Amino acid sequence: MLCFAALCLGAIHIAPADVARAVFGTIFGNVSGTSEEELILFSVRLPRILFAGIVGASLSLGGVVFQALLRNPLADPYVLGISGGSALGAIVGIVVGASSFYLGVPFLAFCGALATVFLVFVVAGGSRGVLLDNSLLLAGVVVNAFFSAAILFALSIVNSMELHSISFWLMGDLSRASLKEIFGAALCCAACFVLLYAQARKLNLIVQGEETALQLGVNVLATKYLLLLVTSLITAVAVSFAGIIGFIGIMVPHMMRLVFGSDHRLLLPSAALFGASFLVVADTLARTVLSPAELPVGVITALCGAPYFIFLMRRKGRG
Amino acid sequence: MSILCTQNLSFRYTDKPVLEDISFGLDRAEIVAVIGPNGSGKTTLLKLINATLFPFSGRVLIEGKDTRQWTRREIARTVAIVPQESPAIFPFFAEEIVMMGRFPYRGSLAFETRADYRIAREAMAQTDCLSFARRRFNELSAGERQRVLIARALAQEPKILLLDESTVFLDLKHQAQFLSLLRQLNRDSHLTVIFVTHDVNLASQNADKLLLLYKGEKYAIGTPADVLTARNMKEVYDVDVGIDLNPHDGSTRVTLLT
Repeated sequence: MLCFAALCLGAIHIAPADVARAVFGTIFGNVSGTSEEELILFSVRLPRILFAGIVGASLSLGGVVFQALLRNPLADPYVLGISGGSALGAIVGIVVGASSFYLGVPFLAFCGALATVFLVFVVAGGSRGVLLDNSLLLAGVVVNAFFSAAILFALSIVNSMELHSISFWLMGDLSRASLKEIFGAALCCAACFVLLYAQARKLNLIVQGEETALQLGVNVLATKYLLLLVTSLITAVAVSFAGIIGFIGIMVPHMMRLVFGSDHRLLLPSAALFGASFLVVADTLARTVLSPAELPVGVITALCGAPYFIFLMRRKGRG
Repeated sequence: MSILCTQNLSFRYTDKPVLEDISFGLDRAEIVAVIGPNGSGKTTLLKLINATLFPFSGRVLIEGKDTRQWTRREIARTVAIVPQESPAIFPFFAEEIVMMGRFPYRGSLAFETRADYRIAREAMAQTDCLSFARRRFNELSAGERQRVLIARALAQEPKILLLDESTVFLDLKHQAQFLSLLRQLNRDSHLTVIFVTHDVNLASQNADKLLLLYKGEKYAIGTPADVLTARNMKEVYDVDVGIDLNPHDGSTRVTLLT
């Protein structure tokens, strides 16, 4: 993933030659001096690119796993209301001024996300020991609706300065990442990927139906809890730092399935890589299309992704 | 030793009992048909046998050991089921589906070995699936899908094979092929087969033993000739039948009188 992010450096428009010089200069230790361009490159853009990659990978992984777990091709990491809970947490954070502490707002958003997952479990009847897909999905929808209302309520009572900051965050914003935060997110993402990949074969079986998975030797309930927990974590991290970036979680898994098939041993890594690159490209576009103004990256992901997805669907229909 | 034995088995989903006090024992390499009207608990019985469900009271013993004490993988290596239908939401290849039957033999991380491939190919050859191994499961016809699911169950190398209406979508040729495959596996590898069916003549022709369920209770168990009597049919199915012997194979034959 790192080498991938490095590749994407070329996509920035400072003048590719300068970028290459700066990068190789740093790698080989003969830094030519701290020009303004290099400063922008390493302290603004590089973190942001890395961060976009991490968030993209996280959301795509979340999409793959949720679609498999709920056996619903329309599921995505946000379907269980994680976005709503997370956003509410962040808004509370912004309103009470938690942004003055290191990781203050993301932490509250993260708490909100985890609380949501817990709530969804309880509403869906996790207490009875069975998790029916439909009840989980329904509970997610209900919880999400409730949080949306709560967010609207919160937005209507805060003042306009905060309002702008909040609504930009809600639309998806990759610009607030600091290197420290990125390091944490990267670690978390990598750990979650390892955990998820270890379940890849079981995911294949769970997609066949929970009863079938059970009959083929999977301890479904334990696997399901583990997967939900890990995926919620990975999603919460992405959402709490980057806001709500739609489309990726639903579409990237589909695209990868069209290309690589449904085996999760292939699907998980390819979705992570493609999701990462997709968001890096989208974020680069978001920064440059209307520069110096910036678009919310969520706008770009949906605008570019939807036509591409239709193209893939149609091509597959003919082939 | 009996390979499968149920003791006072009862099960309920809610308050209403689905199975009530079922006790029977099966020897290794028996072929048993479970028959009974809709809602008599046939499928539930299969799910209790392969530990998809656990009894409300009573026990299911496989090779003398309570199903509650088996691990998931152990059960999957011993008992395989061919379900009525399998959802195909995401496009897997037919051979990937069959390969899933090897899951209980490998760790979650390990990739399939050469032996796994050989066993899966063999299972597909036995059910005549090789020609569409690289086609998507969800694009196959119902009968082809059923053959893939049978191959998956065979790939589990089970000692007990459970079939839930597994011949309904098969055309005549593949029905004949499948039934003779069952007999061959039964004879050569001592496979125990328990199949649920509505076709009492299919049951009579192919099973050593019939288990007739009625309203969740064991109404009768025994040879086809013992179980398929005009009186039993009238009482359980509320139909009038004529019973005679099939001139081709000497099996008990049931003819609906309408």
